[in-house]
Amino acid sequence: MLLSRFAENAFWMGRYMERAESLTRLLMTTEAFAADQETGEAWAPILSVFADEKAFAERGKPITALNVARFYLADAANQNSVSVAAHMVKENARSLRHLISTESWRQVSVFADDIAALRKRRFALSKLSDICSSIREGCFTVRGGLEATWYRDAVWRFHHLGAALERADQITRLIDIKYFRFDREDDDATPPDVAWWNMLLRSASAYHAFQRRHPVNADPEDAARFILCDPHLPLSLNSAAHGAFYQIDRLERDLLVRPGPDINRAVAALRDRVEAPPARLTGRSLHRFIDQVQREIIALANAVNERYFSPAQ
Amino acid sequence: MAKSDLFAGYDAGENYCELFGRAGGEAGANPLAKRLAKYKLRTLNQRNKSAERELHNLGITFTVYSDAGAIDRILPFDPLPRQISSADWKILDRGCVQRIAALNAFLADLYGKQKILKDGVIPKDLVLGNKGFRKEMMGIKLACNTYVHICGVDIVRDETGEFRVLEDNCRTPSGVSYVIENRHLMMRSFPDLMEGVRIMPVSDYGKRLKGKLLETAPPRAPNPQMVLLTPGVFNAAYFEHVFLAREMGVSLVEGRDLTVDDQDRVFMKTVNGLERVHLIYRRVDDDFLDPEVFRKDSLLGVPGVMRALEAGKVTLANAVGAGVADDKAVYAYMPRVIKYYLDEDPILKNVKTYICREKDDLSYVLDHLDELVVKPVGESGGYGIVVGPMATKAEIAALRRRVKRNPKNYIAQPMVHLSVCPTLAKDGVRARHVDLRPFVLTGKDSWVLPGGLTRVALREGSLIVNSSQGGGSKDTWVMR
Repeated sequence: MLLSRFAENAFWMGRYMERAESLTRLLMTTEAFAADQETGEAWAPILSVFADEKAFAERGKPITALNVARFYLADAANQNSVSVAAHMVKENARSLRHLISTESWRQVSVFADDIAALRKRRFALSKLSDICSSIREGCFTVRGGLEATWYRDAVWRFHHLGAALERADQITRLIDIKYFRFDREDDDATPPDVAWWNMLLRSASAYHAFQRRHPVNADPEDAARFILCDPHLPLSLNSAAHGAFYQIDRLERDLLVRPGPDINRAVAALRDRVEAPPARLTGRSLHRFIDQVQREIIALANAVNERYFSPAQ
Repeated sequence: MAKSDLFAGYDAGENYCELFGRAGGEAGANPLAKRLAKYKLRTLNQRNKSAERELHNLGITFTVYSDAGAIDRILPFDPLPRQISSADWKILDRGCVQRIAALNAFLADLYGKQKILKDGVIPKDLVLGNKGFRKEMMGIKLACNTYVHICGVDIVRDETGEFRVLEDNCRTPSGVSYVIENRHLMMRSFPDLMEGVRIMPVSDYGKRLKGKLLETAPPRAPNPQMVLLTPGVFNAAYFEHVFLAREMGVSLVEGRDLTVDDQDRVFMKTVNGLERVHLIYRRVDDDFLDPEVFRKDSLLGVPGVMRALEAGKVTLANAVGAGVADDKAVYAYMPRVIKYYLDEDPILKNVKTYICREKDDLSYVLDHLDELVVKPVGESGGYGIVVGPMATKAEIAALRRRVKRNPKNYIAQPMVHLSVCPTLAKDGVRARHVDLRPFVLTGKDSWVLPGGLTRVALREGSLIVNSSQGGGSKDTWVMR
C-alpha cells in the first residue's frame, strides 16, 4: 500500500505541474492580447486574480508587461510563479524517484533546471512568447513521459487527482479575470468584450473547439458556459472536476483506498455545483458561482489532505 | 606489445597495471588493450563528455546542499574500464565469502558468548570499548546469524599483483548503484568496445539483494514486507537509496513514515492507514536509528524499532552493532579471526598493520612516521589519513604529537603502491591508482556481485580514491 507521504508528493507534483502550465498559458495569451491594447491594462487584472497586488508592489516596480511577466515567470520569491511551481515539481518528484521512471525524472529535472535558469537571465518582452512556448513544450514533454511510463497504481492516481483539482482551480481563476476587469458593477452596463473572451478561450485551448460548437451568434456568455461546463473540453471546469472524482472513485474501486465520509461529502457538493450552474453566467452571478466552486475545491483538497496524507497514529 | 598512440604517454612506473600487468613484465597481449588502442583520444573525450552529461541528466548524482541551493554533482566517470580476469575473480570471490563468514561468526560471538574474548584472541577492551560495539545487541538472536547482510570489502592490489584487503565496510557500504549505472553507461556509450566481449553481468543486483534480505525475515511472517529506510533527500547517497528501492520494488521510507506500536510491531503510514513492516534495509547509522535507545535528538530514526528487534518482530539490515567488526583496529586482527572461526588461512591477506595501542608497534610507528600511512580508527571517507612519504615535516610533527597523546586511536600501515589503470586525463591516457570494492550479500549464505566498484584517484600520484576527495569511478569487467 502506498505511503501517505508519496501520495502527498504525487498530488502536489500534479498540482504544481498543472500550475506551471496554466500560468504559462495565461502569460502567453495575455501577452498576445496586450499587444492589441494599451500598455499595462491587460496585465493588472492578473495581479488581482491571484491577490498579488501587494506582493508585486513590494518589488517597487511599475505594472508593465515585462515586470508582471517576470514576476510570474522567474520571481523565486513569488509562490505563484512558474519558476517556483517548476521547482516544486522537481522537489516532489525527487521524493518519488523510485516510483517514476528514470526517463521521467530526467525530463522533470531538465524542465525545472531550464526554468530555474530564467531567474538569472534578462529577457526582453519580445522574447516572452518564445520562452513561454518552450516552457509549454517542456510541460508536454514531462507529461507525455509520465503518461507513457508510469505504472497505473495509486501513486499515479494521486498525481492525476492533484492535477485535476489544480486545473479546476486555475480555470475558475482565469474566468474571474473577466469579473475583475469589466463586470464588477453591473451586468449590462459594459458592452460584451469579444476580444477579451476570445483571449480566454485561447488560454483554455478552447477557441477552435468553441468555433466548431458555436458557429454563429455566439456571445460571451456562451464562451463562459463553454469553458466552465463543456464536458468534452479538456480544460473545462466540468472535465477537471470529473477528472478528480474519477480518480477518487478508481482509487477506491481498483486499489481499495477508501475515501471516507468527508471526501464523499466534498465530492457530492462540488459535483452538484458544477452540474447545476446558474442560468445566467455573467457578471455578479458568474463571480458568485466561481467563488462557490473555488471554496468547494478547497474543501475537497482539505478533505483529501486529512484522509490520505495525514497518517493515522 | 608496441603501444599505440592512445597509450603513447602511458607509464605505470613501478606499479602493477590492471591492463598491462606487472611492472617491467611482458605487457601481455590483453585483448582489451588492443580494442582500446583503436580509439582516438578525441573520440574518448567526446564520448566521456556526453556520458557525464547523461549521468547528470539521469540524476545519477550525489547532492550537495549549500546556501546557493541544491547542487547535483556526479561521481566523475572514467570511460576506460578496469578488467578482472576470471582466475583473479575466483580468488576475490572465494576470499570475500570467507571473510564475510568470519565477520558474521565474529559478530554472533561478540553479541553472544564472547568466546573469542575469553580465549584472548583479540583484546577485550578493544572490542567492548569500541564505539561501534552496541551492548543493546547482547543476547539478541538474529535470523541466519547474519549481522552483515551487505558488505563492501575494500581491496587493493600491491606492486606484485597480489590482492590485499584494506578495509571492511560492515555498516552501510555505498557505491553499488554506480557499479550498475556505470555498466549501463558503458553499454550506451561504448557498444563497439563491448561487442562480443564476455563480461559477467551486474544488473540483477537488486533482485539478489531482495532475495538475500528476505532469507533473513523474521519467522512467522509468511508474506514479509520490506522497506528501505533513508535519511532523506538531503543525504549524499540519496540517489543510491532511490536506485535500490526501485530495483527491489520496495518503498523508500523515512523515519517519519514508520511507527512502532505497544506490541513492538513496526508499521508504515499508508493512505489506507497503518501497514505492517517486517524487514528494514536501513541506510541510517546506528546512532540515529532509534531515539528511544541511541541519540535522543535523532529525527531520522524510528522510536521503538530496537524494541521491535528485540521482540523478533523486525529484521534490520545491516544489524545494529555490526560496525565494531569494521573498525580499523579490529581489522588488524582479522587474519586471526578468520583462523579462529573457520580454521582456514585467509584467502585475501590484510595489509601489514601496526596497532599503536601495542607497545612494540607504537615505537616502530613513531620511528617510521615518514614511511607509513597513519589512520585514525573510527573514521571513514579517507578523513584524517596521513600519508607519511607525502607529508611535510610539520605535518609529521603534528601527527607524532597526536599519536603519542592517544595511541589507541591510531593504526599504521606501510604505504601500499596501489595498482594503476589507464585513465583518461587532460593530456591523454595516464596511469592512475585504483582500488576495488566488491559487494557481498549474505542471507543464509553469501553471494558476491561480480566485480564491484572500482574507484580511481583522478589526481596524478594520489592514492586516495574517496569520492569526497577527488576520486572517480570506472566500470569493472569480470571476464567469463
